[in-house]
Amino acid sequence: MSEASELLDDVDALRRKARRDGRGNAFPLLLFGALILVAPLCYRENDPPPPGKWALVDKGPFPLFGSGMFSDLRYPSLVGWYWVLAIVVGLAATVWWYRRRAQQVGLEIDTRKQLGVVGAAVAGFLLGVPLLTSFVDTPTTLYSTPEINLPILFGAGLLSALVLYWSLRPHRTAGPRAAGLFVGLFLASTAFAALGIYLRFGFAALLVIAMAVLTLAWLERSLLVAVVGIQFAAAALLVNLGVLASWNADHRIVVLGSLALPALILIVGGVLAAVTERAGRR
Amino acid sequence: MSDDHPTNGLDDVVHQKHRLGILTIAAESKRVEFGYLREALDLTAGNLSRHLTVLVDAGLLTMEKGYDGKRPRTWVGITRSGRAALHKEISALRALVARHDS
Repeated sequence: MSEASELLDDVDALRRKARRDGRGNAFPLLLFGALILVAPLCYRENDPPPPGKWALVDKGPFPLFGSGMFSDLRYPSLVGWYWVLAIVVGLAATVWWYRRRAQQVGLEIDTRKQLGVVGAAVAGFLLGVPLLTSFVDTPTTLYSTPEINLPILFGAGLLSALVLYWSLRPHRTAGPRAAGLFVGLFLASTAFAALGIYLRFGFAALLVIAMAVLTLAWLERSLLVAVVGIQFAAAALLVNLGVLASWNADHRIVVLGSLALPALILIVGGVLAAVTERAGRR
Repeated sequence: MSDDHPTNGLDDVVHQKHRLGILTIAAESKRVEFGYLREALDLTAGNLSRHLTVLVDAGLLTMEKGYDGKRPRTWVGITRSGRAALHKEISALRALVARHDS
């Protein structure tokens, strides 16, 4: 009987070692932190229109990843594209980083789940919001009818978590697993779309990055990244509710004031992760 | 011994210290390299090869051979069956320990 206990102890020790060796979270945390810190440079104000003239308000190609409350940005499309590209480049660089690291360490973590969750969030925010608004019939708008939107948000979110949990059980066969993943991610997209209804400040990309960080914590089973991810998600939510911004200054300063806290959380987390990784190698 | 005794859940292919270790490490990763497994499990290349062959033949692992520059490298990944077998083995071991402790 002690053989069973010993085997379980060995399994636990090997699992801990593999998780420790697979961790390489400093790079993605620092990269996303830097990408967020650079974003304010895109928020240049337009010159005021001449007296007696009106300027057309351009919200850019992706309203949730765009100018938000600003109606006078010089390059609103640049803001939208910056956030979309920051997510794409950030994720692509993360995948590249873990592959490169695998060549050195001999162990590669599976980042496909991260891509799935982030894909669901991006699809929900960019495609789901207009679809949801056109499909769900309300007396006014979904924003002003929380009795309709909140059940969609929490219902789809809960169902998505249950379906994804069911799909990812180790004994699940390929067919039901694929079907479950499809349904689970679709429900997750619907929940993100319902959340997107309330995001009026154009910083939804921060919530996508928060999902990327939290998924990374889950993949790496890393307490440090989980703590960083929760703090970052809270800061991202505050920014998206307009809590951190003061609107009476140059737009770049206003945006920097809002993004400094979430960016700092990732950068400090990244530095701590780098120190921990280095200490672990000694 | 009754049919539902935890030892009935033990699989001869998996219920071996090193093979269980290989599956455990592979389950924590997308793929793991031969050299990492050899070092983590403190095995000779020959012994590790033999265990890997058993697990690959049982459909619990996949093996992919390639090159990193001029250096040959062998990568191992776990299959769905491998994950299920590992999960079943760990559950059986835990049940066995719990039965002994109670």
